[in-house]
Amino acid sequence: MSIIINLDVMLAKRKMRSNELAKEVGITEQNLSVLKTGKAKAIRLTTLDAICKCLECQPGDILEFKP
Amino acid sequence: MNKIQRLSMFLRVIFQIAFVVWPLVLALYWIFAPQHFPYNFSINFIPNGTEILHPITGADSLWGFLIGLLPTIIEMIIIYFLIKLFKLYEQGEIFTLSNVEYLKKIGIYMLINQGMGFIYDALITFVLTMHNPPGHRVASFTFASHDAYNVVTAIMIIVIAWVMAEGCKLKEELKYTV
Repeated sequence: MSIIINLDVMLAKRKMRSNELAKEVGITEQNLSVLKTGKAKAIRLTTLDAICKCLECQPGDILEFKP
Repeated sequence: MNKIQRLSMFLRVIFQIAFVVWPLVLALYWIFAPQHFPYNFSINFIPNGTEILHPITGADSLWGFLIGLLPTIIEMIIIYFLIKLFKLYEQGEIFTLSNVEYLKKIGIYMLINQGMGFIYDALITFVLTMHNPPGHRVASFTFASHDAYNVVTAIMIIVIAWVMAEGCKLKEELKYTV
């Protein structure tokens, strides 16, 4: 898939740990790991909304299209 | 161990026994048959209505056994897939693509078995009536209502496997939806 998840980069920028983000967003660490490793097949808008709110960023900062 | 796993283990053992016993039944039938088996015996390897107007020789029995192996091998393949399927259920794998694959194969082999049934009927009646007087030698093809049921059942199994495969894909997608 040509969609790249830049969650690690954003987490590093915000100096936040994965488990903290998972807790704040309200998803399990396993699910966050699925997202980070690029195994995810879909992301709910509610999850994306919560991540963006938590990391104070835009969806485009997390998702990138690389043809 | 939950109910499904317990029942699956029980059925797996039954099918494992059947896997060994079924070819033995065929062999025993042709060793002793048909002199010691009534023609309406429930496990009857000779199609009903076959007129055998001569004593069955050792060669006839051997041919009967060899021809009988054709559907028996298919039936053993089906039993083998059933063993595999129930082993997966036993391990708690219920809605997986490998299960669906076994289910689909069972359906396909049931259809093949039905086709093999025609060949078997023709060959067995031919071999057993070969030494009959002229006019009584036959090679019969039969298609009874139970054959139609078998075909419909096999098709239904294939369709159910297909629907289950779609369900598995949905489950997989849901698993990876964050």
